[in-house]
Amino acid sequence: MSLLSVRDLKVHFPIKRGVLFDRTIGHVYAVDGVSLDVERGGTYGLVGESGCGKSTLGRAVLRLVDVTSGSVEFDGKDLATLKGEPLRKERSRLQMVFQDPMSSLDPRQNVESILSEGLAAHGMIGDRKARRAHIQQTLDAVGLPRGALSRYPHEFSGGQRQRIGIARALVLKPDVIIADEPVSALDVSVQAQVINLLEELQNDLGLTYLVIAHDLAVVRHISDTIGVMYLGGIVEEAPSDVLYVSPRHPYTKALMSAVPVPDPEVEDSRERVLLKGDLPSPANPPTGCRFHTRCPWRQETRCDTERPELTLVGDGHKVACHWAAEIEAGEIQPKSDAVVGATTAEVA
Amino acid sequence: MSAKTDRIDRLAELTARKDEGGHGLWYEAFRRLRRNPLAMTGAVIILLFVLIAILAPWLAPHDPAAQTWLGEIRGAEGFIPGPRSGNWLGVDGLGRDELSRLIIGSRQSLLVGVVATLLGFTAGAILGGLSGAFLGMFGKAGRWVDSILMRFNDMALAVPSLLLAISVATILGQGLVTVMIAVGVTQIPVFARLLRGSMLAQSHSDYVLASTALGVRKRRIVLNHILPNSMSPVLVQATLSLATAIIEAAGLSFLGLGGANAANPEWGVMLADSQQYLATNLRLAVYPAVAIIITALGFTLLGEAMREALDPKLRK
Repeated sequence: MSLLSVRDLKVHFPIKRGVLFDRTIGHVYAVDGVSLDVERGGTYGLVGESGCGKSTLGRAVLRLVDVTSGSVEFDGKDLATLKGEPLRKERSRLQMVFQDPMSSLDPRQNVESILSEGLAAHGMIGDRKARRAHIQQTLDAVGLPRGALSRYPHEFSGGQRQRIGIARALVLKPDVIIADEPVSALDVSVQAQVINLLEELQNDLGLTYLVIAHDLAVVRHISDTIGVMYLGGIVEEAPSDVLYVSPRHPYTKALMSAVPVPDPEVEDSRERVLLKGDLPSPANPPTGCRFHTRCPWRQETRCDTERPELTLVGDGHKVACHWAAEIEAGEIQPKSDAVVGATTAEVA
Repeated sequence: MSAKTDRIDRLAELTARKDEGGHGLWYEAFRRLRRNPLAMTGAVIILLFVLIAILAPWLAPHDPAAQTWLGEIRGAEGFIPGPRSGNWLGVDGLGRDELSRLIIGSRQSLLVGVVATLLGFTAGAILGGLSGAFLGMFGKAGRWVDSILMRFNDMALAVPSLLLAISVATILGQGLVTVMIAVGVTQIPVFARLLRGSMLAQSHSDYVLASTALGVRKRRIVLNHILPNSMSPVLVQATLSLATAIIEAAGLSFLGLGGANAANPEWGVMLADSQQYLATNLRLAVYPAVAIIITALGFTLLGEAMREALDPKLRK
């Protein structure tokens, strides 16, 4: 059984108006029926464009936002229904690494205080000396100098700050770490260091990761399984190699075709799927398939009326598209203006 | 070879960092303030003002209440002795030394400004802090308490401050304490709203989420993270409020609601007294007005500089 298993998770934020008595005038359907499983010691990568609800999903798993419905089963317990003290106690086993290492560290706390806060909250390692030793050990693990203890976040570089953030998550010896865009705020040269650090830590400590990112390369590098999110739902899920080689969902195809290929001849001649329009508002999502408003393969029937289920199409490969099989077989052609193939090469 | 260079590099790193402890935010802010010429100008003005107010009895050359030069004033011709060797700023319409009155008057302004601001700051911070803490700690019930507190606060905020001060002064009667309370009360909703808003903003920040994820208790998050990080705008406002308080106190005294008497001159009263001589002796209005402006400017300069120094977004 998987360590973390999310079932039909929904997070709807009410839109409120009113002076003294708030009226709810609508909902933002940030996460709308997501199911996924993360295996112990594995890495699940979650990709999608901004506003698709991937960060909210991560926060909902940790109960940092209120869950509307659904379950988050962690090691046999449903986190979604836990409250108060039991929830607080459970938190030590799931930790989060945030996107912006500056805003996720309290500017008034020095590193020692940041790292000992979680230990104090859970009454772990009461002995001052032992606690300090444990903190220093964690600093070593993330590659920070020991002199860092008495310093403040603003005295560090971006990469170092993210290391502090990782150390803060590690210090409680958690089983699961949810990394919300862990490297997107960092310089490219530092990104690789932090990604490698995350991988090393996973090997050494047997951590389980849920990595949220919009950078496909980052996710591919680190993940075993990848889920693609669009407007609050997962549209495709597959082992990372499979997903990158043979994407099945039209949205994933468009995403993959946006990644440049480091070979000029292939780059010039390959097919590109261009999406038109913007992400629809999650407060008023399209009926049926969420993607039908922008899908080049859209059909007259089913697409705008029936929401497709995530169904198994291959070894661990799941797609939420009514016409996935037909598209794969070439029976359905995309609208001509949506696919650009080899045009630049011909002109040249 | 490479092991050796590594060791040397390591040594260099160690020696470079040996004495370098961590510096807190306030220390950094103070360093930035010291480099800011406007902040220093403000600080010098405030320092001078405070020194003059404290040492006033020793600095004033004459008794501010004694009408020593009443005989020289020829009311019919509108003649009042101007600046001269004995009275550097001349005498006022009742034959009293203008400079001495200005110097002694600074005490009232400082006292009213500081006490009124302290009153507004304390009451406002308690109200706003409670509101923010309820919001952060008690979920739906907390939002209710916050809503109710803040709606009353908004009502108080909607009343023009001078009008509110006059109403308070009318209820409590004339006197120095009245002015302090009146000016202080008008500041309460400003501080309350500011601290509450600042706490609300902080409670949505990532480090608060991070602390929640760590399993830190809500009470501890509010007291150790949200509140300390919300204080800087309130402290800046307190500095700026001192300027407003001094102006408003002068305004109330000008309208005759202050507690100034002949023995205790006050800048607002001096301004009011000078009205009847405006046509012939403008300087009598200019001196107290300039004193009020410079003092208010000092506090404003320092307050603005503090805002800049404490704002992480404006920082390089």
